[in-house]
Amino acid sequence: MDLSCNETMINDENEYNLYVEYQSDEKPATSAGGIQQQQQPTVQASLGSNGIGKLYSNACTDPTFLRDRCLKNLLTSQKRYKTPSCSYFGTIQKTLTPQMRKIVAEWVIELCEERECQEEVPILAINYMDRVLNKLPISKNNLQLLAATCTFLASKLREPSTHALQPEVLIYYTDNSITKRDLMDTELLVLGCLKWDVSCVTPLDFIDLIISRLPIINKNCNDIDPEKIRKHAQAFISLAVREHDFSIYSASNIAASSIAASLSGLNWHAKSRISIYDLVDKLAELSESDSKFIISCMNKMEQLFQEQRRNLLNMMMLAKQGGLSASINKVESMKQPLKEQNKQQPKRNQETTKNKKKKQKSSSHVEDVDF
Amino acid sequence: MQKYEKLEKIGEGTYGTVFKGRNRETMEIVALKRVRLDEDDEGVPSSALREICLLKELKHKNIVRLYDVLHSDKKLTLVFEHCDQDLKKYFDSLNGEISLEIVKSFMYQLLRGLAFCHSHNVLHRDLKPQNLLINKNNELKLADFGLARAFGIPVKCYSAEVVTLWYRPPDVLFGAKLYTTSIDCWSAGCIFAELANAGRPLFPGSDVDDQLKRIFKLLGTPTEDSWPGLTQLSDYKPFPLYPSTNNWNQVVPRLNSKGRDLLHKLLVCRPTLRLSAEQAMAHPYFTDN
Repeated sequence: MDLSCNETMINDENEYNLYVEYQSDEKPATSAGGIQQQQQPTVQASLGSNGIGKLYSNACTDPTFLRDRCLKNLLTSQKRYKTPSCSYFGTIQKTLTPQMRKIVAEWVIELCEERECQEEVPILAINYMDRVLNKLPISKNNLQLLAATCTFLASKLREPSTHALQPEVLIYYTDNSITKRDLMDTELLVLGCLKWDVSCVTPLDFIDLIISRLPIINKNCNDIDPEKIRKHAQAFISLAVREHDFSIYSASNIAASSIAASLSGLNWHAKSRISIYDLVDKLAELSESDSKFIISCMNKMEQLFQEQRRNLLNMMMLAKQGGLSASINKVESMKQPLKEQNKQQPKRNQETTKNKKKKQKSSSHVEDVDF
Repeated sequence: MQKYEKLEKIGEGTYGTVFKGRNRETMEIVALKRVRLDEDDEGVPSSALREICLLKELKHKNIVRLYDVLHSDKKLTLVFEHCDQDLKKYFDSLNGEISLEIVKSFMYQLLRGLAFCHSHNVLHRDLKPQNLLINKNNELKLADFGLARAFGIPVKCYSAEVVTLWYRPPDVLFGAKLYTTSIDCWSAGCIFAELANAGRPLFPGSDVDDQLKRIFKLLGTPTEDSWPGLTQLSDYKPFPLYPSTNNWNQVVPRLNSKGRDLLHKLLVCRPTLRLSAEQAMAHPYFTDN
């Protein structure tokens, strides 16, 4: 097992910022902490301050893992963990809106970044949450309790026990709006609802398996290495899990589209003189999904990415004019992440206020959960 | 618990007491693992959580079957298929004699169960005789998946949570940061030698240094040449340069030459050169007569 790449990547860890960062010529000279200037437009993954992606690089060194049988089995077992293919809003969930889901998903992602969780933890947690929301009506007041419980479970499953998120930590992040008892009771409700099927297949599981099978290394683009493609793909995945729209796609579909989006962002098509669309059929075949879905999912990811980028530029402009903190790096305390968002992204005022209210209201005991 | 009748206690598992039980309808004998849920603790223990969700997926004749998970007020009961004993107890009953056919059959079943786990992206990470169950028909089953995990995504390594010392590969002993399937294959190699010697462990080290010394005295001390990257491992430290031993017939005197060759190929210090479970199953030791 070659460990050399671990070490080299650790040095980069401070460069991963909270937000996906697009570095092109038109970007204003940035004062935001730790952004590298590169010639190529680059997406930097939102991987948390510990550079969670850093250990990722060695996945390919295990030949067993790259066997066709592994990919086949993963494709089969992902069906077990499929998130709902149609919206639960307005049907099962009468009071929740997609925007609330997004806020709570972002809360999970930021919490996990702050606590340096394994990168799959927030993705698993959001998968659990969607599957529960598709089965049980949850009141607005209990959405954060549900999200905290899902994060608790995902962390327990995937992190060594010494590093798993402790109940106290999660309670702190909800601004003490939930109790340990709530968490323990909801844990069993969630596990029952998911029938204990929590070892989910996520888009991250497919990235290496797909990249290693793509004919992408080409004499015209030597500088495109799988490592870079993977990092960018991860960033797209991290954007996608925030949005409810993406739950219609399978995990392998999201992985395939994120790779296509990543190649496109890296300008692979221009260098290799092969259209991204020529790769789509291969991606569809590998991910056992439809070319149409690969493209639509990729387009949505790129759209999100552009939005994110615009927001970021706006923030930077604001920052330049003073008033707001220039740093887009995480603020010292994440204790009130929803309020922080409020500060950073004025557009969301309405929802955040709602959320704040929600938090204040919820002295939530599990008895209140409409499980 | 209406469905199952609790019989005598079998033992203490990693995270709970194990009882023998009987399905009231079918009269089938099962193993009941009881897990207490205390609020003071962290809810459902992580080992129980991992075991349940991974075993639900791994349905194979060489992997212990999880039939049911029952949940009542403050406890969780895991209902497993019942096996009469584990390999450790089996060894104890042998008095130093084991049939070579049994050695081959157990080893093959171990590899088959392992290959199944690996092809389903699961690492066991704690293979040892106590975690291999044997039933009346001499069927061997992998059990105790409390440390196992799906390995789609590389794991950060924390040495506290791996394989019992005697079955731990040199890369992990030197602090390797990632786990791959090769870790289980090393353990399988150690168990193979132990089987062939009717229960005498191959490397019964007393601590990490002693463990490595025992390994290198048999296999030769690896060097940067034989294992590039070795000296970069986080806990690496130099050892005396032992030559590799040539007399494998002293190590496993009863094993034939093909068996020794298989053992040799599983016990390779450099993890990337270690045989995979699937490759090992195709070894002439099993295929030739």
